[in-house]
Amino acid sequence: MEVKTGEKRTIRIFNPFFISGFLLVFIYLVLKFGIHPPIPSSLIAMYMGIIIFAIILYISSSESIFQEFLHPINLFLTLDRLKVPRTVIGIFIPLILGFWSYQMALPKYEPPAGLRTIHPAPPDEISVKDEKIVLSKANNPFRGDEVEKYKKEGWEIYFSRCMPCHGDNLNGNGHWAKRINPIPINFRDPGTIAMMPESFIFWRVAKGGMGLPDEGAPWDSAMPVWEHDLSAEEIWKVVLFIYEETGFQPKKWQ
Amino acid sequence: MAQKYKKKNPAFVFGLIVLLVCFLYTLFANSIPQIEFHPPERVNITPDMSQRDLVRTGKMILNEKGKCLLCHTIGGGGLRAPDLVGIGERAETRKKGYSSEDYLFESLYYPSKYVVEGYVPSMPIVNKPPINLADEEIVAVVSFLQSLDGKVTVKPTTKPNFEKIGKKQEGDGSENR
Amino acid sequence: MVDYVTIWGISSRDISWVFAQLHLNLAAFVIAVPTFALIVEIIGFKTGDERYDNLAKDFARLITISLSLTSILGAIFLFVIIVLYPKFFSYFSQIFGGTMVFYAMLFFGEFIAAYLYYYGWDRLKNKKLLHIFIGFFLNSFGIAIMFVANAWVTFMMMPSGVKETGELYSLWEAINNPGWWPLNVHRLIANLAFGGAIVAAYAASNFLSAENEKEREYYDWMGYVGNFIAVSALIPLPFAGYWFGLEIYKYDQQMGITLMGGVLSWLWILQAIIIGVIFLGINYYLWIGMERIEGAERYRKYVPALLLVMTICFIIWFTPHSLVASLEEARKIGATLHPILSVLGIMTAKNTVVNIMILSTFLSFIIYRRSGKIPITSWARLGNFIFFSIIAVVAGYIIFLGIRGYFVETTVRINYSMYQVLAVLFVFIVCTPLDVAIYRKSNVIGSIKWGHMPPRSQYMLIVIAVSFTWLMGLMGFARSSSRLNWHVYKIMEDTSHSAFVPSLGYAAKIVSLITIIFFIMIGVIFFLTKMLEHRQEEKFKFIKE
Repeated sequence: MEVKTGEKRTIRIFNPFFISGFLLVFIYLVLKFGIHPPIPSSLIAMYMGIIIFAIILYISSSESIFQEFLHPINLFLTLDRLKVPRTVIGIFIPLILGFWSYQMALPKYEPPAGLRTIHPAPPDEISVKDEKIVLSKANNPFRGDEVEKYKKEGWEIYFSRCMPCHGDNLNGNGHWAKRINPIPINFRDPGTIAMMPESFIFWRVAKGGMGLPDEGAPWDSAMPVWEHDLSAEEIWKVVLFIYEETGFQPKKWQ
Repeated sequence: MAQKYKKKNPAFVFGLIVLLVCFLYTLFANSIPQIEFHPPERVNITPDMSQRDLVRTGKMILNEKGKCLLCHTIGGGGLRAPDLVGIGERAETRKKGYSSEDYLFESLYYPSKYVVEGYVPSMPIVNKPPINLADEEIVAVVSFLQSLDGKVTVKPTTKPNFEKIGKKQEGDGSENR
Repeated sequence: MVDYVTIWGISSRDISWVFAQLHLNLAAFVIAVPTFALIVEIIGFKTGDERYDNLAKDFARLITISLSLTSILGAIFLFVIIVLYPKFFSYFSQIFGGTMVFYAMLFFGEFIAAYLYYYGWDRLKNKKLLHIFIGFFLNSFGIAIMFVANAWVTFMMMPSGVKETGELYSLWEAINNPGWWPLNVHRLIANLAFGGAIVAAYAASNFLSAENEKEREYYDWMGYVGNFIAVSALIPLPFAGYWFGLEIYKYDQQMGITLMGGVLSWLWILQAIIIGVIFLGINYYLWIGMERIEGAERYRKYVPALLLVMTICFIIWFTPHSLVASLEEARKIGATLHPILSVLGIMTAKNTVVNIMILSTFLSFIIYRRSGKIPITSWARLGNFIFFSIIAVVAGYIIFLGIRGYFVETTVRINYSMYQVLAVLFVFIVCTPLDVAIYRKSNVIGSIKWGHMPPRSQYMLIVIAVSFTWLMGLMGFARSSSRLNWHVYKIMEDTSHSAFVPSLGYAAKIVSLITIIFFIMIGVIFFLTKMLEHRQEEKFKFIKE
């Protein structure tokens, strides 16, 4: 299409072309950085696809908006003084597409995102320092009249051992958390300790990530094995502290 | 105002749209997790199998062929059907006069006879199609269930006590398979 | 006798898949088109508007050729099954042999009625009632054929009337299995939607190749009618599908779970996208159609709002519950489910947005209808107030139920989806007559200038038709796959190499192949129809006069 002589050569700043471009960038930024925890990029791509589709529909649903939208494109493609940027873009678009295809086709060495069982079934019994503990029957020995006292002791252990990763607010946001893969558990999330019995937490603390069964992907956890450094009593106290501090009630075994 | 139109053949545009739409849907379908369902293979259970292997086989059947985990969970609440954590221990005392073995066999051959409180009877009979487990496969499942916090009492050669749990139904899937 | 035969190493399943689906697509078309033809003919007969009669004849012209093609494909499909699945077919003919003969007889009747209907059109011009009667017969045959075939298909999913060993004891029970009626209803409605979309695409292709203004006008109108039929049928379609799903759950819970939550769960996300595209496309066509009506500018300002609502609904509608994350991303999310997605991904959110989408489409249609008119009924103001209050209240009620759905138990929540559906139906039943009443007396400020449509509106009609076809193929895959590795569920196991359910990506490729072949066939039908048309030069006589 060519620009006829006498056709206006100026473009309004609120041209649909610029508005839609701005809108797309804005929505993308919100989706990418505005939502926490982040949405997977594949989903962002799908969302953006739908939004682009909707914007195209809107622009082309009215002839006047459509022509106005095409106007800057037409000017860009035909004006003599824009020859240089036109050529540059004409060269760069195929290059970018080529680079993108190359990236897509490159073999990747990333392991497939396997399904990881978040709360795998614990073994029936474990031994901590030669002491056998039947998990389905074990109860926290410190739940009783003196909860406050033991909670304070658990507090001390928590802040000397657990706080760097799980955070001083128990929300999994400690100093080292950002560098741990996957991030430490947030105890204040109702989907974590609130869903499990106390002895499950005891097991996780005592045996650490390495003690997970295969379906729990032990290679995917940075939790240390605490049974070498802490006694069973100390572990129970920490568990007590976590529950008391967050206010969650442990579940009972069904 | 009879305008003149150039005669155009729409086949090209039409074909282009068909190809484009098909391409986009196919692209999307290929960008999400690809799951295939394969028909279960017959599990081999030999009479001289060790208990450990029997339990493992049972676990495998539970996960795959038996499709138990469509409804049941092992630690995770039991949304559609009871959670199986610690079932081995509970089975020992759940029904009066029934050993753990009897109770579990009954639950598999006659799932609606004893229904855990809070659930509706909705489990299919597992020795009939479509699950269609063979008797020895059911023994393996029972051994795995018992291993969940209980004592494993069944052996590969164990036969369920049908006199106690009810007569085995005639014409079931295990015969015409 | 061997159980399975493979030819040239091609998967037998894929061959029969392609032929079955192609046959099905064409058959759906061939059953739907006579229905429109008859309805439009009756409208033309009642109103005396010759335009309708011509449109009906235009539809009828498509019947004979597509019917021949359908039966050829059906025969090939039968041949494929007999050759490749001998064991299955011998069992199946033991049970349904009688109905197969009946089926062939029905086909005979269909052919005779179709030829009488089309070729008798001009000759029976003065005996219109007799002609309509023939059309009625034609439709009865078509629908009966479909019902018989449906019984076979649903028997394979939900066998009844047979013992566990597979012996037949009641043919009627085998036919009248739990899935039969739901599928009958579902397919009857779906055929109308599909046929409407294909007819609209036919009109679009003719519009694009139109040689003069008159032709443009005519095909623009035909496309509009086809699209209107497709929309009207699309709206009740989810409810029929819901009924079918319910019967599946009732018959065998495991099958229901496999279909909705197991191996096939991702398929519904893809289905959601296609339905979203169809909905947006239909609305787009209406909005762009407002450009050809003078006075529609008044309503233009509502389009962005409607589009915004529909886009948000679309996004929620397809948000998956579990998501595809790379390992890196999965770790950033941490151990638990994503808080936002797990909220948007569940059924209560999806039921809500789909109902809102249907309501928005209804509103789009209402503003389209009102574009060129101003009501002069004395109570128009009050009527409009009531009209929009009802819609606002119902929309609010649907959203309220959707939000409440998060806090109640599953058993209560299932009823909520029913209430939402009933609320939308209530809007249709009350508001449509109300709208008609308000506009009973109105000043026409601008008539519809048929033919003044940009080509992109016609492209959208084609996109809708392709999406419908693709969706049909996908749903065929879903229905067949729900049987997993059984020819006849629980009765006859599939022991062949291709007993597995293929991945969605693979299925999508096959469905695309089917869709492309189908449109090539449709192209052939359109082409041959055009050839027929050229022999009847009097076609646009009514316009010239």
